[in-house]
Amino acid sequence: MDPTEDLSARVLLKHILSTETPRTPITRSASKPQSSSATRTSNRLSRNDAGAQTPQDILRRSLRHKIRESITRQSLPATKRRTTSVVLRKLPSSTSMLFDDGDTPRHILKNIMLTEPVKSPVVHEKAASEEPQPSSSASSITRKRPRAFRVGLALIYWPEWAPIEALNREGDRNLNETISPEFNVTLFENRLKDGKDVEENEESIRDHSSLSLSSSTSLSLKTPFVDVRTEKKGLQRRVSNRRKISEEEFGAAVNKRQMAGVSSFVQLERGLSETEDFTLGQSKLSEPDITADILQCDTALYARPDAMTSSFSFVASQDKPTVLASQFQKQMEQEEQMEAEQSKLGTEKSTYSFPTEEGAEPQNEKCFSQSEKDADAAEFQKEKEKSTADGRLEDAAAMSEEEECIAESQTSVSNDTAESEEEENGVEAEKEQQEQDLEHIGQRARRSEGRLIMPVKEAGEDLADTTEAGWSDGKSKAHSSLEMESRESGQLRVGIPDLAESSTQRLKDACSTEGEPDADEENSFNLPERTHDIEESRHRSDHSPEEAAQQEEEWEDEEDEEESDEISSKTPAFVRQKMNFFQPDAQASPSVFKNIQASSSTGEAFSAPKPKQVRQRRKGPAKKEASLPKSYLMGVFKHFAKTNVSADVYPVLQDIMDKYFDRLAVDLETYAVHAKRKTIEVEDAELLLKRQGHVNDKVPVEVLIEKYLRMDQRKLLIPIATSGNVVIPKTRR
Amino acid sequence: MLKKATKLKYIIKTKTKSNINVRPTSEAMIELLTLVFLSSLAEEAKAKAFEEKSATIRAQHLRAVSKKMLKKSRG
Repeated sequence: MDPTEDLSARVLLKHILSTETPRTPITRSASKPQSSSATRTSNRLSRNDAGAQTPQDILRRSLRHKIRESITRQSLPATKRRTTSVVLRKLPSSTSMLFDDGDTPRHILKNIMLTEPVKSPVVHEKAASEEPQPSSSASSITRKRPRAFRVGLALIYWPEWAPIEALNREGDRNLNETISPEFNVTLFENRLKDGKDVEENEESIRDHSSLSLSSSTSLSLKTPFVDVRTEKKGLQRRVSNRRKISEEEFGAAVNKRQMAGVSSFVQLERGLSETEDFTLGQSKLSEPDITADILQCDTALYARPDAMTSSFSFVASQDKPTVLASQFQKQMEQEEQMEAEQSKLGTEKSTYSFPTEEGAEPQNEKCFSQSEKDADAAEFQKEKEKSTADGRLEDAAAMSEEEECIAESQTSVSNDTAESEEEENGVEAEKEQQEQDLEHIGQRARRSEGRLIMPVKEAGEDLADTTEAGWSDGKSKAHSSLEMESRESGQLRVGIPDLAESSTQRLKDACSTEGEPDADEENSFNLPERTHDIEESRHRSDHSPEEAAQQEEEWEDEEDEEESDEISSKTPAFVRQKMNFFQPDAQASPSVFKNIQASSSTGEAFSAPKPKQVRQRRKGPAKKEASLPKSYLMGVFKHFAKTNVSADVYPVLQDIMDKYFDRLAVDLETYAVHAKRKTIEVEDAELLLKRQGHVNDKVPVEVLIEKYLRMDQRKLLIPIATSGNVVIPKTRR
Repeated sequence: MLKKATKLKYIIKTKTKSNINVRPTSEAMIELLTLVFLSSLAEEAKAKAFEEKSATIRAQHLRAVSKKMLKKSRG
């Protein structure tokens, strides 16, 4: 690398070329050591240390050999170099060397580079390794057109004067023996001289030999050689890497989802408990949550909305038993009384059912016994089916079970009678669960909640009395209602002597209008209940949510009116308390009224055939005050605020959200209508985001989606392509 | 934020005048909208609270920023 050496090498070479006659390498070897030793430098090809020509000669040969070998093996050019260099190093000793002209391979290589600039270094190296040797004699030796033969990867330009037979020898591994240095020299010389020609030849030849192309620069110029093997290797490597990653990532994603699903599920459960100011439930959530987890462990990769809703109901329903249990404890006193009355009722029922229809009797009795048995079970069931959001729903659900049983018998019994009425009653009954189910449910669910539930809430007068009185009034009411309309139960009325007749008479008027539709149900319904209760039971059995909702509303209105007329002003409060029936702590103790509500709610919990339907109904009447749950709102706000947030922001926040949703709904609706659609689509929301400025050229929607939304929502919005050409969500053509 | 925004669909449906449907996908988008709005609200309120050198966001901070944010989210 020394400039001095270079200069000297050049000088030497020039000198050699000019002065010296073409001689055999052997002759040169004598002179070589002088120059070579002086100009010894590191050569790319061969890092020959001081050593000199002999080693260089040997190196040359070995290089050739190695090259051929490497070519045959199709190793990379670089390796050839290295091998040759290694070989060169390993062979310090040398035989007669051609490379005696003091031209280090490096210098000659330089010359070659100048003359044949396009060639690749490897080629040059090969040539260089060989050329320096013959370079000295190149001048002297007549330059003949080289004959290029392909030997493996190397293009060997056979001097024309050299016998072709020697070529065969080149195939031998022992190049040193077979190939004469002269030949090598001539080859290099030819190369040097006819650099350009060689180039052309090489190129033409190279076209034939793919292998040779791999290493030569000229190849790169003209023939785009593609090392298939290397490429394949690369491709293969990449593919395998990809698979690995994908699998690992997939596993990780699966785990993530499961964790997220479980965690979200648990959080949901807790969230459920917290909603609707259901303070009681929270305190006793531990057990229900555990059972919920066990029973409904969601193994899906992502939480499905259906599962969530079902879990909702399940968890929500579980809260009920705890609440009910608390209610239970509070009103233990009434148990005895209730039981006594219940026993009475039982007898009455048996007698009651007798006159109606024999066919109905067994059913009723069955139903009755079942209902009793189911009372406890129903509680749990209704609890399970209840949703924290709507106490009504839960009540209805709870009630539904019992009512089903009863309703079946009733319907069978009273088929002839106004089934429509029954339906109406049933519909409304569910609606009025909170109001009236208390008594009704209380009767059904004697064991569990009967104590809590005050049977008759309508009877304001009676309510004012003891609970017992109310209960009896309820009975009487039921009876009276039965009397009113029971076409079949004429005898039934008679069969209910025990109840306070006076109260019944009072209630008669009240129930007359109300009870008409109920009468049929009540007739078959053994339990002495208010008309409403019976209706409610029927409703549930009918499972006609939509109609029921309407009818319930009507009934509720009617009944409410009547109640208000006759009963004290508690009824209007009653209506209001529909919403808040789930706050037993505050309301339970003070008034019987509230007890009734609680009982009705619990009673409703018994009948729980279709909580979903019940929930839908609940939304209908007077549920216009829609707002996000407090826990959710505050939680999200706190998360985004990252600093402490005082609790008094909640009402303000709710108000803001209310206004916001107003505007949001209006905007979305406008967009959809403008697009002549009846459904708010994703693009509507996207447009709104753009108009708000949250999405612009720099921030696409997907970024926001990924930032804020949960995985299950994200799955809906951004299709995910998985292996096997599967896209989630399913794209429909 | 890992909780489901319950009753969003119902809220929107009650607030719209005409009977319009909401897709589950657009329900997710609506949730996104609310989250974005809430986050910007919270940010503004936090800034306002810092202005008054209070580490806790109080109702008055919120009220002060609410009008501005509501106007901004009109579209």
